[in-house]
Amino acid sequence: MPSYEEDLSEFERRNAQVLGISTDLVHAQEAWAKSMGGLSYPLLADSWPYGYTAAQYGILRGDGLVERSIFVVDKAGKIAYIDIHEIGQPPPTDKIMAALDKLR
Amino acid sequence: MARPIWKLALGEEAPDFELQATGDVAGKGSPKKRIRLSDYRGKKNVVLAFFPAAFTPV
Repeated sequence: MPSYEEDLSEFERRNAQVLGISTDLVHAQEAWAKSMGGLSYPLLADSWPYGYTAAQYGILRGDGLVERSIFVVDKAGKIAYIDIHEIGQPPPTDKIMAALDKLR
Repeated sequence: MARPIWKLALGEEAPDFELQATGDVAGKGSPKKRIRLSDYRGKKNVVLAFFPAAFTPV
């Protein structure tokens, strides 16, 4: 999650807003972000009903964990890119940028 | 590993949501707010980054 800090201007240049989403409560997210020195984008709490948004995106696993994943949504509200990743690995940023480049 | 019930496909409408969120910049004490995906429609592309849990290393 924190690895997008250095890419912020790259997202801005592509007119893209990053939203981080987890099933944590917003208090925990704020504390976590603070422990990393703060983030340049918001974190959203998909905490009640637990994982409801993740389930709608098809990434809430049967064991209750959410897949580490990226969805790029274009200005028309359509899904333009999906990357569902191994839980231990951050999704590659260059592919996200390439997907955004196609939207401009 | 259990499989999800369904998956979204490219070109489909992204399911809208409205969630409680940190401020515009998480971890910097800015006031909490609610964020709705459809608020960005017609204005910005959105990168939704789902992650398993806070306090995970990556």
